Amino acid sequence: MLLSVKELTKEYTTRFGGRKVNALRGVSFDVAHGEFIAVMGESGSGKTTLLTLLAALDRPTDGRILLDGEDLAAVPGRALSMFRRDRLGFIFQDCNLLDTLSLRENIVFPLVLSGRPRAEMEARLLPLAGQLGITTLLEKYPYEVSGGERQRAAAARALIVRPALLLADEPTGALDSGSAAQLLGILDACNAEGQTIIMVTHSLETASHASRVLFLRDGLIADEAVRGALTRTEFYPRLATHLSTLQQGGVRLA
Amino acid sequence: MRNAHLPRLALRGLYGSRKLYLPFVLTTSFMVLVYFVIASFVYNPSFAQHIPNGGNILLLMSVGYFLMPVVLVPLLLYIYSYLLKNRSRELALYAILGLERRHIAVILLIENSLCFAVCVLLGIGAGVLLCPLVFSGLLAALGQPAGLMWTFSINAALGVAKVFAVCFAGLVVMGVWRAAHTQPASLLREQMQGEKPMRSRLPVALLGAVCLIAAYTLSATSGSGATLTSFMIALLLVILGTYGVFTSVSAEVLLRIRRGARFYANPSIFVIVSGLQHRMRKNAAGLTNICLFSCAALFTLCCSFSVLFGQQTVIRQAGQSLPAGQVGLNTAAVGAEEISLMFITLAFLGVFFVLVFLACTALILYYKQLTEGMEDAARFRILRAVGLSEPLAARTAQKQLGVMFLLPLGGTLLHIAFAFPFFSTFMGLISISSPAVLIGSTAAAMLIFCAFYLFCYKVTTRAYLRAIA
Repeated sequence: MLLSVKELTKEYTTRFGGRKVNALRGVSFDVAHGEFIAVMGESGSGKTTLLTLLAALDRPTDGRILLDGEDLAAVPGRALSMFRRDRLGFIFQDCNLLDTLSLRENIVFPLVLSGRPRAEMEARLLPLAGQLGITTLLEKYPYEVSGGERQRAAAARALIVRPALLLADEPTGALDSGSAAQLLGILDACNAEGQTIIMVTHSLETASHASRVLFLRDGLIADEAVRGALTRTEFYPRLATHLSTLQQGGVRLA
Repeated sequence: MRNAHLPRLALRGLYGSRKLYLPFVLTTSFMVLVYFVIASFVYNPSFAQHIPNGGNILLLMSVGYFLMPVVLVPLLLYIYSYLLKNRSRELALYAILGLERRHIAVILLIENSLCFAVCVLLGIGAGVLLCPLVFSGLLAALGQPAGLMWTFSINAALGVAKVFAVCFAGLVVMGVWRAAHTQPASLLREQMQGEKPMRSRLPVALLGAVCLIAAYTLSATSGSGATLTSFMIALLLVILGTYGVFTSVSAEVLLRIRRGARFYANPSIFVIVSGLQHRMRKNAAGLTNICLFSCAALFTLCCSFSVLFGQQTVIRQAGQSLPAGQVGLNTAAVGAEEISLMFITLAFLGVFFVLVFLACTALILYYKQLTEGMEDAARFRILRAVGLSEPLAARTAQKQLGVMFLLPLGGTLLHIAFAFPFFSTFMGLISISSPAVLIGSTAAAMLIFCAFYLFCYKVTTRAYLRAIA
């Protein structure tokens, strides 16, 4: 197993009144090498909290996260940002590219942080940029390119560290359908080469690219759908059925 | 839109930007205080009557009283423009919400009236507490018996209030003009796009260098024939030169670093250089202004010190015969007591001007830090998300600030060093010509100023770090 999540709970205390909110109430699942997982759920279901914990941006109240057998809770605070940088890649909904850097500089930034030699940066950057179709845009600044191109640059920044796990938070949320399809195609290709991906989304179309879909509701995994040998067009209606069953209140455990 | 809502909007606006307004109100109150102290002397004729040669003191104080607004009004306007820049988003939002220009004018009028009232009350209140002390302090320094009491003069208070009322009216006009010329959409785009790299770096650098060299030459060759005109010309040249050199040289240096090999090898340099390049011209303008304010404060401080330290020498000379060809104050004709009286008053006035300049320098440093902190907050959020560790983020921020703050300080010290001939010529006009006194007071003033500047830097850096945390 690449990733093991065990009985994960996260409790927030609201700022006023001190009321406790359980964002996650015991979530467990395993992710094998090379899987492409989508996490679906409505707002407030806990999917963003789950991603935040997986990204080690916050500590769980209870439960454990093991990445390659290493307990995230055991990584000391000082080493966390290095751990995040070297082992995890992120794609955010709003790209999070820096306006002050060109696309080239944005993409290699994690390698600059790790102190890699310049030659290695170029050696990793060029094939990746070719694969993502942004080779000619590398000298441009984020405000000079389209939203889809920005998001592809953000994907390149996440992939350039060759992360053990790629985390994506609504990566297509701010894109038009053409750009979204292009980005998902790229994720599919990466996954085909063995990249493990966990993606949070509320779009069925986006989720149908995954090999397995987890449905979160009220801080629990309420349902799960495995694509198996189905094609994407066959998987899509299955997911729709799961989702409507879930929304009508019934719980079906696969 | 009913006008009854406007006062509430104004109050909310003030409260929302209290981080900006609190230092502004405090600094302005301080200016009121300083001005009120001087006004108290001018409006207290008994002071002049009770002290021999008190008329001369009154005359000097009156000159200070009329000169101070000339300095205060542009200073306040400049500081307020900085403050408005920080609120431009809010003003743009008002426009989006459908407020007309006259509504915004009313809001700004209410805000500024309130600030005016608070500043005048605070400043004069503090003045009433402080004036008796200053009064007896000055009497003691003058060697006069402490019998004379300070009395509150309503005319002094009214005179001060009038000057500041005009100031604040100017602020309202400026605010309305700014609000009318701010486009909400372009404001956002501007911040994202950053500046195009400066094209004509070499010509601008050369032009700036020529200006500086010309100004320095004017100073060096000033000799005894220095006039106020040549000083003013040199001043103008220094302003242009400083701006030209700061903008072009910084742009060139940043460009070179970014093209160099070290850029990719050091995360701190990577982040700092790209961030600075994004808004270098604005940055250079801010640094130039800080440098010029610092120069004003330091030059005045040098003058005050040399008047204070040079007093004894001049008095000693007064007993002796005048060397042939000496220009300026005829020391033989006036008594030692009279000279001492005038010098102490001059130094006293000088210190007050220094205090005002220093307060402004500090406030502008603070605003610059705060503005940039708010702009950089989003950048550092992304940097952290991508994997910039907390200690490295703090180190990077501090390094960036350090470079930016040494630049104006270095410029200031250089300018003042080159202004030394001018300075000694001016001091010669009031018979202070001892090199020991002139050099000593310049060195002392520089030391004190550096200490003050570093203190401000430390304090305002905290504001920046808090903004990006």
